[in-house]
Amino acid sequence: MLLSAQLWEDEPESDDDNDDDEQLESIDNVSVNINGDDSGNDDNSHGNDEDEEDESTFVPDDNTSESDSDTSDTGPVNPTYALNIGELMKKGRTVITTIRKSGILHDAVRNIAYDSSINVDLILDMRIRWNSSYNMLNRLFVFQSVLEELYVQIDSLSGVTKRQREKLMSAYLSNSDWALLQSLQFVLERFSDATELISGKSYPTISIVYAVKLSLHHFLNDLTDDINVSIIKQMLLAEFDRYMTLPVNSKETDIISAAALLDPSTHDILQLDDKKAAEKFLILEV
Amino acid sequence: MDARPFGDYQHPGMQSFLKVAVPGYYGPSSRTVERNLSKLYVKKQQELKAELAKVPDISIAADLWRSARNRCFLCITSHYISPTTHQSCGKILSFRHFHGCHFGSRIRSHMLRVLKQFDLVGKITATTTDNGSDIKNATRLSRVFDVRFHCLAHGLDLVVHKALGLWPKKQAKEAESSSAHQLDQDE
Repeated sequence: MLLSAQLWEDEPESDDDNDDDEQLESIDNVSVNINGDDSGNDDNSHGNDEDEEDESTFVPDDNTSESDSDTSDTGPVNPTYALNIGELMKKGRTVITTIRKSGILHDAVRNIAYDSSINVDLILDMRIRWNSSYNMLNRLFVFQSVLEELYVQIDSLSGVTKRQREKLMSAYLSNSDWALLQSLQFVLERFSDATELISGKSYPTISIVYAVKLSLHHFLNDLTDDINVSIIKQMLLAEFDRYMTLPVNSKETDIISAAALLDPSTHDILQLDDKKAAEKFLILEV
Repeated sequence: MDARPFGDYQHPGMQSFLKVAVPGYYGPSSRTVERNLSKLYVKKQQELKAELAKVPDISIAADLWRSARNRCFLCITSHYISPTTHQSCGKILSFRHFHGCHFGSRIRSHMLRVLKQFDLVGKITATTTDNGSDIKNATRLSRVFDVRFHCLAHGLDLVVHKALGLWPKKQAKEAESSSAHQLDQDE
């Protein structure tokens, strides 16, 4: 990281310079960049998988070195917690796939669900689909009582193989697991709402971007909830700052602030600094 | 629209239905459907081009993704305020299977080709893309693409994924590079 910071510092910075954008490469790709930088060819941006959005930061700006040290300093994030959530999601997925794959289990679940008048099915999430994990959690909670009933009945079901039973048992969600999932669902709900709000097609979304960023930032900084929620928020906050911080004087930031200034619904929430910047920008443009 | 095959009219079920519903009518053959579709495509494209010609400022958005069958698609949409109804509209300019490697330069040349096809060069006021380094590189040409915006929805998705580790690392290589990155950060 030290290297890349130096790299950025050495380069002359100017907003309109095209070459400058070459420096706005991903932090993760920096090693590649250092090698390919002198040749300056376009091809060093070659990515090779679908998740390549993952490989680049939102905008690695001039103060990358600062924001990075921020990331590593942010709060007492417990790394084992990250592990837990990943494992927990894996458990949930195991339960869902096992049930969905087996006709017998699926029928049993449907029967129990029918009694409690649930007319939907369990769904799986998908890596690159927005909010799919949140949707999966929602469904899982709809089926919470059904799943508990299934675990009671599972020994009396005929035709369930030993392997399936073991798989279900290994992925049994305990009460504390459910509690953690609940906290996760609570936090992800905000992100899901935000995504839906900015996915509008018939209205301009650029001013909403400002509102969404601001409110999510407030939400993540509010650590007055219970301990699980707070820890999840802290985990999110570090990444949120990393991906959502735009360079201070970029045109993108100015335009977003200006749009928020001009939109009546977001005009009042505009922060003082941004308001000044937006007004200055608008006057300059005019 | 429903992803039906071109030869639907010639299938036995459809034929026996047509026999009763419209006696004497056999429906178009798959070749005719194909021909008509390509005519319709060209016609619609011309219409869109004529409509866009009246609009002074247009913003575009582009996204590149890979389907479950490992095929890559590149979609370019245009967003503008209609000069007649003053409503904001979004129309797809190009949606195609992207062959070959995703170098920034290749994506850019494709995007430029599409923009030239619709006579949009010089009218673009903003470009929105995700954070992929290839597409970022492709749209960094500010002369054509003007201001570049990051897609917030992609960003939020990224935040959640990265921060909570909802998915296991895909490949050992990826895990390795990220742990190396972690080490770098620690230094």
